[in-house]
Amino acid sequence: MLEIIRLNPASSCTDYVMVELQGEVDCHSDKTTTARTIGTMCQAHQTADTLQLTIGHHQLTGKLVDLKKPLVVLQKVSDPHINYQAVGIIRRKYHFKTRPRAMISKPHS
Amino acid sequence: MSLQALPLEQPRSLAFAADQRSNLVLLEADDSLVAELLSSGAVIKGGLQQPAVLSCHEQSFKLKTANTTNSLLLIPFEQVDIANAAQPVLVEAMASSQLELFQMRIDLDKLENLLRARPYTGQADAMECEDIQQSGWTSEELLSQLQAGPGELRTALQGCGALELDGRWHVIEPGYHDMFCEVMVLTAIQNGWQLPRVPLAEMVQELTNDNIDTRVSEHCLKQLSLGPPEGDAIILSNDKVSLRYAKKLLEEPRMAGTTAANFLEEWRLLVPEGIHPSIELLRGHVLLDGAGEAAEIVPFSVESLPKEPMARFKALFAARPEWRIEDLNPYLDGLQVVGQSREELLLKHCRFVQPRLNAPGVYCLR
Repeated sequence: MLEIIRLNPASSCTDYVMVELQGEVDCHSDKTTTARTIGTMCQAHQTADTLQLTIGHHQLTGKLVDLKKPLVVLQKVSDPHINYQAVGIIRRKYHFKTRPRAMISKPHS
Repeated sequence: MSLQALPLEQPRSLAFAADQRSNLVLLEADDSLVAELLSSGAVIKGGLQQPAVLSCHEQSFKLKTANTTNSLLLIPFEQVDIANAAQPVLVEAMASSQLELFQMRIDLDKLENLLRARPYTGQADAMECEDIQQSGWTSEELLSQLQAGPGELRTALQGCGALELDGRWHVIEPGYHDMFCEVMVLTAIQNGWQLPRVPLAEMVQELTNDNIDTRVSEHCLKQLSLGPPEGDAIILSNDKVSLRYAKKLLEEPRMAGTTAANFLEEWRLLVPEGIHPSIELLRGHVLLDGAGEAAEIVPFSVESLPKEPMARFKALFAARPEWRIEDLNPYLDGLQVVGQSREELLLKHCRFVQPRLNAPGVYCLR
């Protein structure tokens, strides 16, 4: 006999954008109830499809690209059996493929 | 689709949301499939020996996890739209893997084994007795045992000649089908109908007198016919009717080790008038040892072989270590493959050997 897990259709669908960074994003501050800052983001070179991220002493530049295939975002629910619900869709990502640039000046706090 | 960028004319702070979600999973899918997943959903089926498979209505896919050493940050678009640029853009969730889909076919070997375990035998009355297992399966019963979607299952059931009776799918037991053939031919003779042409409605009506369910009669006649009815008559397929008799004849012990010529003679005596057998029809049902009329007939049916390519080739090379392509071809019918040509299959599973220059090449097990 097979185990069957349902993947339920979306009742509402959130549009996500993905930011893909090489390596791990490590956050030193302790887990708190407030949001933990990663860095600052803005457009690079005044072009809409680029993203410049400043994390600590490092500056990264990424480009907005279409995913080859979209990603469906599923949410795991266990009530009481495990099932999944489609909650969103990702069609684009900011891809950071170049090495981060070290900034000599002190970063903004 | 045009690229929609984040509206970031002003620098914004990027932060992890305080209530970051850890229960999100990413699933990569084609556009057409995304639409179906979002509107109708799907099921994931797996077991101890069976890897997880995602089944939509018409298609099934093996699920594989693809890990990445990159960090994937998920940001809802609406986060960025907030008018107040002083608020940070919040990362709702992080991921380091995604699920990928690889299309696969329904396991036809398993489906046929299930159907054969509970065939239709025509003994409807006996079913009232509780000890006897009910024949056939409901779609739900089959779907709980097969990694497939409902539409995919229906197509496969129709493909393997199953019949739906009162919500249960059956294959006709071979013995019952033989009996049906005999009664049908006798009925045609009694009524002076010249085979292969049979008036459909009248034949079905006559067969009810022999306690054959009209739905079963129609199904069996369709299975033996060349195509859809022409007017009110159905044209029986010479090849299909011939083969039914050949299969029965092959089972007889006296036919063991017989020659092609002898077999054909016996076969001709067996078939009804208007049906013309020929040795050619036995391709994929028997192997011929030797050449011409003196060739010895060895029963070996493609229908008894697995439909999964690897298992099929193993069975073929267990029967014969070497195969000429013309002998091999009929035994490659009905293989379950996604997007692989026959040549690619041969290349993958066999070795092509030419013993001498100008000698015909043969296929061996790789």
